[in-house]
Amino acid sequence: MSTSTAPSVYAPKVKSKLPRAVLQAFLITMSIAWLVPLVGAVLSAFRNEQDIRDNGVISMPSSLTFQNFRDAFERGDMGHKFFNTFFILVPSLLLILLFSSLVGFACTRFSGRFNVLFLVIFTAGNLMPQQVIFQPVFQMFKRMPWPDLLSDTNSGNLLNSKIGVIFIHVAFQTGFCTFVISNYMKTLPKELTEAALVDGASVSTQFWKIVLPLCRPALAALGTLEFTWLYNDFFWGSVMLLDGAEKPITSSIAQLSGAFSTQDSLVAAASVIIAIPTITVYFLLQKQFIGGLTLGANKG
Amino acid sequence: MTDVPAKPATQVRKGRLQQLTFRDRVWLKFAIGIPLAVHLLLVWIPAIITGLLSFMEWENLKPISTAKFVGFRNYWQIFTIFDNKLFPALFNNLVLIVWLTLCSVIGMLFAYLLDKNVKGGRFYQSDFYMPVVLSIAVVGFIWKAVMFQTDRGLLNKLIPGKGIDFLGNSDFVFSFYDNKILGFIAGAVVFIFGSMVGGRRFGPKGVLGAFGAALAVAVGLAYLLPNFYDNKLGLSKNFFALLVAMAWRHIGYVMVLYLAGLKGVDPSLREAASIDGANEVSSFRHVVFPTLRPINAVVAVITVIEALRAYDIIAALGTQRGTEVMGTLVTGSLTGEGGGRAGLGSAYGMVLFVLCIGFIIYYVINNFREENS
Repeated sequence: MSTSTAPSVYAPKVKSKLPRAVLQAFLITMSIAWLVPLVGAVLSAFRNEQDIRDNGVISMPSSLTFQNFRDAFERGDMGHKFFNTFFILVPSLLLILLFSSLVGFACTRFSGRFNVLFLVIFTAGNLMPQQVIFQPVFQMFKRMPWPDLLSDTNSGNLLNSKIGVIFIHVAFQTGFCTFVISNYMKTLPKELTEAALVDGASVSTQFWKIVLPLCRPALAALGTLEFTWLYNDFFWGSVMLLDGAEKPITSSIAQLSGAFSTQDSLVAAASVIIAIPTITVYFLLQKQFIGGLTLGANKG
Repeated sequence: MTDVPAKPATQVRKGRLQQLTFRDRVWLKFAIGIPLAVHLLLVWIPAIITGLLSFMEWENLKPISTAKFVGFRNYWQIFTIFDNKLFPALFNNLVLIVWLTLCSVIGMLFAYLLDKNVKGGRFYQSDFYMPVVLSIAVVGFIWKAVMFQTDRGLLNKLIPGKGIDFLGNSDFVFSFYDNKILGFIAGAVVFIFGSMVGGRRFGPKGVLGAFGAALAVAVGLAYLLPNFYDNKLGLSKNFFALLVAMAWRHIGYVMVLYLAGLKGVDPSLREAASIDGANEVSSFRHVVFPTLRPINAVVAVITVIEALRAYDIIAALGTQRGTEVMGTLVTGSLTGEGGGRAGLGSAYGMVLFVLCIGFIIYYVINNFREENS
């Protein structure tokens, strides 16, 4: 994965002074320390349990096998869980980006009395601890009737329903994204939409045809970041989706390790399977990913 | 809003609602209204309801009409001697704040070192950052399986002797119960130091100053309380193991934020400093660090909020004895066995909320101050 950049680590700098060498030595040590748990997990995943037990986690494997992956995938019901995760993730992601661009657009391109207040509400809301709000949301979902037509469970309410989790994610994450995207939109020149306004373009045309395409870098960055956040969600998936069959992928590892607590190679394989989508996205879209984080940190 | 003073050209040019057609105005109302309604309904209103419920007694399986107002009784219960959950959880959160702050400093150091155009910088950056894309629940299991495993985990292979049960051992690394005098002195020192830093450092607005002082009081109390109550407070060994795993993830996160900030430091400033004979440390202190101030504020808030919201890694590993934090305490007291008392659980939740709200306000003011002026 990382071999393309690795060789340069070992090439000493020609005009290096001693501090450079010390710096490199420090960084190499730290980066090895950082890799150990990951490499250990990948190695364990490919070995059978007896081999690890005899030789320890970091040792030469006597043989490599895909059996752990097969077992983890099957026993953890991971195919189904992946479906659940993406059933929640895709609509959530699209709605979050749409909602936050809408609010950002309306609050930064037009002057309104409460614009700053709205942005404050969204920004502050995102920092709220999830545990504080979950009990009322849980009761709301449990007691509020919900039409089967808009439900994936047909149980008459939103408890234990993936649709409900989508709602929570949208409500919660729109806060962060609105903050980021409104900061980005403020940097777009006013003349752009003004010209359109003079030409008689409606507000919705300005949004879809002018502002949204210009926000593509910010949306890509946020989309990448939100993808990993939503994918990695553990809290809402575990407290709102009580039925095991509805739970997202992050819960399957807890389930596996509960049932096969002595089988570390199985747990390691499950960890690797769960990590594959986010690690892939990270390596493909590293620039966007880090851009998303820093957009939130550096205002404007 | 036509009564905007005509001085800045940009203000006047901003699209005014009156210029828009009726259709456009309706469109804009919906553009804000729908997201806002969803957000308020599922974030702010539940927070308010939790606040109300914390003053009530209600078995959450029964109809809402059975809820009755009991005043501060829930708070009285959780804060007094009869409850032995709140203070250990608060203490663990406190440890987390201190620990993650330390990790943030290390993250800043990593960023500073990587910013020096070292060979293979990109590799190091990807490496340090990789854990951040993993689910924190998965991080817990990776560390459990690879590092902490009693008979074959790497740490147990490195440390000679009988296998250590890193995640099962809730003995204290240190505690403040055994030595009351030490506890009292530590509490007093943290209290005085905290209020000094809180009051002086964070400036004229005083929001963080006030909150720093409040936090210092909390810290002081956390140290002092065990002297009066029979609650044993301390850092348990298994929580410390989790702290290590969390550091693995947090350092990379903070590093990336600082790397972006360091890119914004004017290189000529640093050059000037080095020509003037400033050494590494003083050039960092007087040139680099001041320009990182906006990032510092963001990182400080992220660090504290992450520490207060911590839940996933602890819950995923089954909330072992000694690892309870506020997040798991609130969730556990509202779900599962014995989790029916919504009022009590909400009171726990409000304690968490009150701890967070100061930092949330600071963050918001920090971000929106310039726009208002």
